[in-house]
Amino acid sequence: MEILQSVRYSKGQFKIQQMVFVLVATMIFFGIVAVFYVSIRLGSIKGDVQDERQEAVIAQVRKMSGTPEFIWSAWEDCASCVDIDKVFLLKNRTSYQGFWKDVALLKLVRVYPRYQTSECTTVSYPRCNEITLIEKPGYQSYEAFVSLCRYDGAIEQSRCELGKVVIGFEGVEGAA
Amino acid sequence: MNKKGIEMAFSWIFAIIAGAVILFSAIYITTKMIGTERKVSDTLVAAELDNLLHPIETNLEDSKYVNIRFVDETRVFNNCSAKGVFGKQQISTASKLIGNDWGEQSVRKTSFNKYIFSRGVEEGKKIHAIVKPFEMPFKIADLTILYGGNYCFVNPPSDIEDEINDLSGDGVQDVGVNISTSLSACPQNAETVCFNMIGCDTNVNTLGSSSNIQGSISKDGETVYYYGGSLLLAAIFSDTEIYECQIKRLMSRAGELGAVYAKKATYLEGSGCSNNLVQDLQSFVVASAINNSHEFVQQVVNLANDLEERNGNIAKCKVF
Repeated sequence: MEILQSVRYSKGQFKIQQMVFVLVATMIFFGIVAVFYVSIRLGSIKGDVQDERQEAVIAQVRKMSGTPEFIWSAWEDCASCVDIDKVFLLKNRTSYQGFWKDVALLKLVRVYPRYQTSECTTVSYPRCNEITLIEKPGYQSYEAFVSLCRYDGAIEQSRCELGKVVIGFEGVEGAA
Repeated sequence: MNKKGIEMAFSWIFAIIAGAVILFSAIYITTKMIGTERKVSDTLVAAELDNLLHPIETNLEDSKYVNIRFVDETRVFNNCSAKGVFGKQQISTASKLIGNDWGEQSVRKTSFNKYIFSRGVEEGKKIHAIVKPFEMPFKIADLTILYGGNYCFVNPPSDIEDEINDLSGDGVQDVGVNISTSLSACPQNAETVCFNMIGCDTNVNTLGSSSNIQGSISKDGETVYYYGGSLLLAAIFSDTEIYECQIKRLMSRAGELGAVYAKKATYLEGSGCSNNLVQDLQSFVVASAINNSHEFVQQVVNLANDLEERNGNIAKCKVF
């Protein structure tokens, strides 16, 4: 009882304490508002990045057959012809790792005729269905139909078959 | 002594100090946030610009022209680095703020398969882009030539004149390039480019014609070398430093593609199609390791022309 009696607050001290509480509450309120704003803004930026990557991949898939690494240049009048020999030889070139930025999937798929072996290897090529250059988990993919062309020694001329280029982009975590 | 007066004064002082701290913090945070928002928006502009350059890449076309318009007055920063296997291309933007100040430069958008030829900084609400394929002897890349402002070409060769006329649809579209027969007829604000004469901001020497056109270009006291119409235009519109860097990057890619074609030539030989190009392609790969445009013209051009001729003579199974 003696101790309690000895602790006395002046009116001024009480007012300061009151003001400090108000200030702390104000700061907490603004802090919460700021956190709310930042989380909404961050979500929108993630969405923008997702859209930007998607746009890039859609633009790329349309033009892939015209890139130097894919283009079939033996005939000058085929815009959608892909040199399948060249793409297969690119497969194990370490220098091309990371060349196609933001691309999580890049492969050529034979649509017709189909063979029994799925992924092309040095043993199975050219009687195989897929050449995968890049494959990372978590992608959203887009396709474009192309002609897969190569020189066929058996018929002693070039031949083209129906195929498609598949390109996927990495999704942004948490994006809408 | 008036105790009430002292108590009022203290609470006022406390409130004023706390209020000022809150007010200044709010102003500081808001200013920072506006800056960050502007940077985010400029970064998205840079990314969109990069994406915009994808669909205008060429397939079978000789060249393409597009006019890029920005909402605000914008600076486009072009950075080129030749380090690494393919080097890298980086673009970023900054937009004009209220008044005459410019916002902070955005985050750079990096790509390894683009080659943008321009000055270090292009400025304006409207930017011209010409895309031309570069073949040496096989397709190596598409060259994107970006430029703002106006240019005046004085006495260009007929091929260049025809190309500018084609891109502008015979004058229907403003491509930012005037053709003139004399320097005095050029508009005052235009950057002047003289062909086989001196006295302009950029002076071009040409030898040969059409696809074999070659020579040198002098600007800002420096000289660069070119071969072919694509590189001629690229050299005119870019800073010498950026031009040299992009040539080095292009040749690195040519070397990598040459190695792939050498393997393909070997594979075709195994499939019963004789081409005798393996050795030449391997020599081309070695020669493509250049340091500047002068070495490019001296080391690579003749080899590339020989390869083109020999590949053209193969009847059934062309390597490229």
